[in-house]
Amino acid sequence: MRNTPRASTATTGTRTRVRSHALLPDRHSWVDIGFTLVLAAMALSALGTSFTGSSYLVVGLLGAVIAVTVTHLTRAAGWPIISAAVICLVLFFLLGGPLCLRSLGDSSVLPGASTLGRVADQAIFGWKDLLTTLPPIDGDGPLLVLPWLSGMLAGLVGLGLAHLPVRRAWLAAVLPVLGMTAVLSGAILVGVRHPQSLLLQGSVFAGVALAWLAVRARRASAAVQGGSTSYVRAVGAVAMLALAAGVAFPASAVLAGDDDERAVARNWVEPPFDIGRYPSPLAGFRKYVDLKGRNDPSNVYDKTLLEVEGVEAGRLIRFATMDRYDGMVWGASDNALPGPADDSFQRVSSTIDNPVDGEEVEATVTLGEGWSGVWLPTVGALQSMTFETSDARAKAEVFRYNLATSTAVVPSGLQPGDRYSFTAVQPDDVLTPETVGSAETASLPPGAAFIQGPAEKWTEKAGTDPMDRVLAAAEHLKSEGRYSDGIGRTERIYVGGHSVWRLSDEFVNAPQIVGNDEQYAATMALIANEIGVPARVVLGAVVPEGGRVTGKEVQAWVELRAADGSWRTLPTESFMSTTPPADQVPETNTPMSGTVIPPPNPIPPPSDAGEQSDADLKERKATRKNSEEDEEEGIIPGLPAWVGVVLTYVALPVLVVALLLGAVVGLKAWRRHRRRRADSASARFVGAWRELVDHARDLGQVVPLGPSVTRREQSVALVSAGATTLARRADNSVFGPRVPEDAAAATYWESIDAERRAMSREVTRWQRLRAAVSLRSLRRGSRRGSVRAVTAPSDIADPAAAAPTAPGRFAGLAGRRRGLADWRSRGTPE
Amino acid sequence: MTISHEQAEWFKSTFDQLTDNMEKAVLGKRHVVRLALTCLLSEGHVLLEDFPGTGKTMLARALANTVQGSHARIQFTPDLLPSDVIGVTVYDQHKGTFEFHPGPIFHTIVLADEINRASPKTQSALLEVMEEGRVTVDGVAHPVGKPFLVIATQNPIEQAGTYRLPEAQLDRFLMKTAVGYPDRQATVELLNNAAVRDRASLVTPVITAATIAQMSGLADQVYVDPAVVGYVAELAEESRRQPHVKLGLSPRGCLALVRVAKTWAAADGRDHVVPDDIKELAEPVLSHRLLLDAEAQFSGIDVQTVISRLLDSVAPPTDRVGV
Repeated sequence: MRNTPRASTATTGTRTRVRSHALLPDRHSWVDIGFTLVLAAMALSALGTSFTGSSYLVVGLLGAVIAVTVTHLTRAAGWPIISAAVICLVLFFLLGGPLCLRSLGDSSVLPGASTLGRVADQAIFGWKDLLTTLPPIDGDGPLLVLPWLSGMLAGLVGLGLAHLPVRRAWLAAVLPVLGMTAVLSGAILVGVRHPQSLLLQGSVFAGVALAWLAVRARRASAAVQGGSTSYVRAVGAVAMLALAAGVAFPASAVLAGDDDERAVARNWVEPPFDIGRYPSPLAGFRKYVDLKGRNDPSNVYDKTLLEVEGVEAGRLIRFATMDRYDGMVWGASDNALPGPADDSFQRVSSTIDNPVDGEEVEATVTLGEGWSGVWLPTVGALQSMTFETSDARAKAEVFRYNLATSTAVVPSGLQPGDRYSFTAVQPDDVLTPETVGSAETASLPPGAAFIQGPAEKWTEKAGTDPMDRVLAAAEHLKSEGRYSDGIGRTERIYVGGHSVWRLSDEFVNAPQIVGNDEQYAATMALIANEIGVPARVVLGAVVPEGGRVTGKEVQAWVELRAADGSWRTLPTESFMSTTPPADQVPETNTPMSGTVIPPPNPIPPPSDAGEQSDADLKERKATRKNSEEDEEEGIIPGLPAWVGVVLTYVALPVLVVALLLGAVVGLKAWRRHRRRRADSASARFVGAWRELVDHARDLGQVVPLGPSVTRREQSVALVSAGATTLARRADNSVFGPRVPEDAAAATYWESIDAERRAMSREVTRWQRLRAAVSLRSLRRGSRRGSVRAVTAPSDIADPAAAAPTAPGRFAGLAGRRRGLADWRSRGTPE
Repeated sequence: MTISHEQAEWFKSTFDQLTDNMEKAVLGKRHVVRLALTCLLSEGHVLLEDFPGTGKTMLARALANTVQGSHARIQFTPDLLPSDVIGVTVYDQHKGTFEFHPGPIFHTIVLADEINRASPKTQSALLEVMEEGRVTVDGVAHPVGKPFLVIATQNPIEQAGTYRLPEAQLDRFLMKTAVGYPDRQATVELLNNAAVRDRASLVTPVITAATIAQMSGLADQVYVDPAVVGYVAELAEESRRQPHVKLGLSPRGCLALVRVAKTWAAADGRDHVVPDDIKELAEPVLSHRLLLDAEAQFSGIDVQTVISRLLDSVAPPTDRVGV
């Protein structure tokens, strides 16, 4: 006896009948379940490019099967769909730990408070992590909660909508398909721009969905009206296909367009990471130079920075890429390339989707005593990364990589002894005379305009080809420049830094071009950008024999962008001279001695404190805050600083709130004044009564409002001893044969005031305060009176019978009612 | 000239005495009793429509008994003739002239029991007397005197052998109301005094016909503010625009509403009418005057629903006019 209504008791025929279904699905239910699971699988497959392996699909399908089972069983039991949702929610949390959090250890498998909290955390905030992590994501990580949730939602939505009792046959057929389409759209939205299964996502899904649509439409049509004629069915099918096409084509242009146009959520989600807050490593270049006997604990010239295994000697290892010049320093940015490119520092999992052709490299790096900061040395285009320290998982979770600049960072900081292995592809980055520069131009800050003159002057004989001009400028720098780290006694005038002042007045426009890697690379990159070839500065080192990299091997070079989009290396030696400058006597002709200090820099050189981790930044921030607090003078002279803080963060908001509350009180007082001072005594009676009603509303009483409610009807609802008498008094004065006198109105107002006070005494002080600032009486009440049982056309037994005529008639009524309301309230300010 | 406050108070106390007196016979139906008395004092007639055994006849007889005047009961049957109601002219052989023999309609209070059982011809015999208070036979008008009240009853469920009252006849009635079943307390009291077979006999006359006429005169002097009059006019207009209403409120209906409201206000000790009087009396005064279309009947919309919507559609005045 499947799918048939079953009477719980058939003796009287008047008892409630409960519609129940058999435990095992019938034929129709099997069809719906099958289509739901197939469509759910297809929708989940859209996440294939976001996760590695197939765990996501297994977990998601398991969720869909569980949700489908629960939905069917609750329907068989005659329970509402909300019960299925609740059960699915419970199962989601109970099974979420064992299924999705296995990678976090045994403690995350048992359904304890922390596990449930983590599951909830991933379900709510995991989407952001998914969108801000460079795909593919580890298939066994905690983000598996997302396909688990998606699968459950797909099963619940698909079968739930399929069982939804809908009167319209076409709606019953379309609803579940729309639900599953929404799930697929969600999966595509959180996917990637380069889908691998566009055919599966689009065509197959559409085919299966249309098949389900046809099956359900035919079933619903047969159940409702015994089947349509073939003509009607044909027209319906064409209409449905037209509707589907009308929706699908515009949507597909957005959701499943080509690589450049495809709209996915990660295009709009801004990764919560700002590389710009970390100091430029180029600015601290002087810690890598030879101090020639001077003692500086921060100097790492002789110290081991890292030990590299698997990288042949002479190859460049990259510390950081700096692609933005702000007039002070070359720094790393989150937007290295124009357009929606993968040019930000994104979280990545152990494997990175970084398609580059070249030589494969497999290396292991151990950081030495001289290394600190957040920058992670790598080679080429990274393909995978494995940390091998004790806190490997913590580092892996915060590890970020920029595909465009091939730069890696660990924001939590790196310490000597940290070890990691990676695989990478070393692309062809050799710059040849035949290399054609990219036509894209990079914008320089206004302050960098100084480079324009020297660039033109140095390249005037090089023709018009940008790359030739760049190479000519490099040659000029190398031939005319001199090398100095500013360490020697007579070379201390060659200060560090690469600000506009240092590069213009003290470098390219100086009588002699003198500097080291920092100034040469910075200038070279500026010149290339000025000429029209996009360039950036790279800080790194040349891997020596044995793989032990010290500060001595560190250098800065320039990368130029070729027309094919690749970056070509302009080696340091191609633009930097190694010839030391001739000994110079400072212009002041003052003999240098131990007490003489080199001339101060107009712009202080960047800190050479080196790179800092998040922990360093926090510490420095806290230190600066403390010192600021010590030195800060209060906003009010003579008062401590904390008074200003209190005034700003406490008193000001309190003042604003107080002003708002005062405005409410003032508005009511103004309203009361208007009512009390109305032109006619009769209007004052009316106003006085309204004042009482408004006071009751502010106190929280439910008073019938609306144009059809009279004072007596309101008085019955008022919780007030004298309300009925006062309503009668107002009516007697207003509608009586004699025009009321002013004195009578004044007396009535006194009675109203007394009654208001009496009503206030009946409540607590807190309620009185709330009533004073309550906005309830300032809001307009319902237009229709609420004292009658039947107040609206919808209360008519058969709304359909009244529907054709009611709107027009009631629209006309509204206007007349307004007119009457205006007429009756003449001289009665509200 | 407006009724004074003292006069209004006297009116109220007298009205309350009448109500209390009638309540001896009609238990727990004070509101219906007040409506019937309002009809009497407004010089109108009342139509009671309810199920058998709810006390329609008892109410009518109690009302007749409470007034010191004559009363008669006419049991309307299909074979009742107009002359059986209004009287007949008979030739007197001794005097050699035609003499008019008045029918039962010539009483102060006339109970027309089951009025819809008589033929339309007989029902129409009541038209003139109910409107003008006189009967014209053979060209001679015979006044029925004052006060004059017709209390008619009809059964809403029995349709066989009945004739629906025409609209013109219905419009002659000032009010149409139902008695309704008594509540539990009244029923228990009724059963405890089951030995009293005729409860109407417990009601003794407490007011004379002259006093009734005096009260009617006072009720006429109750003040109706123009705002309230405008409210009634708006209700009438709106009733003609309401969905499913085939026949709205007529000017005679408006007059009836204002007249009844005046008496109702005086019975409350007031010298003026308030909008609440209009709202309270709208249903008994309007329910038999509004004619709904067939669609409303099929849709299950009754006249009470329409009146509720009507009252919700029109805003009662809150202030007087012209101040």
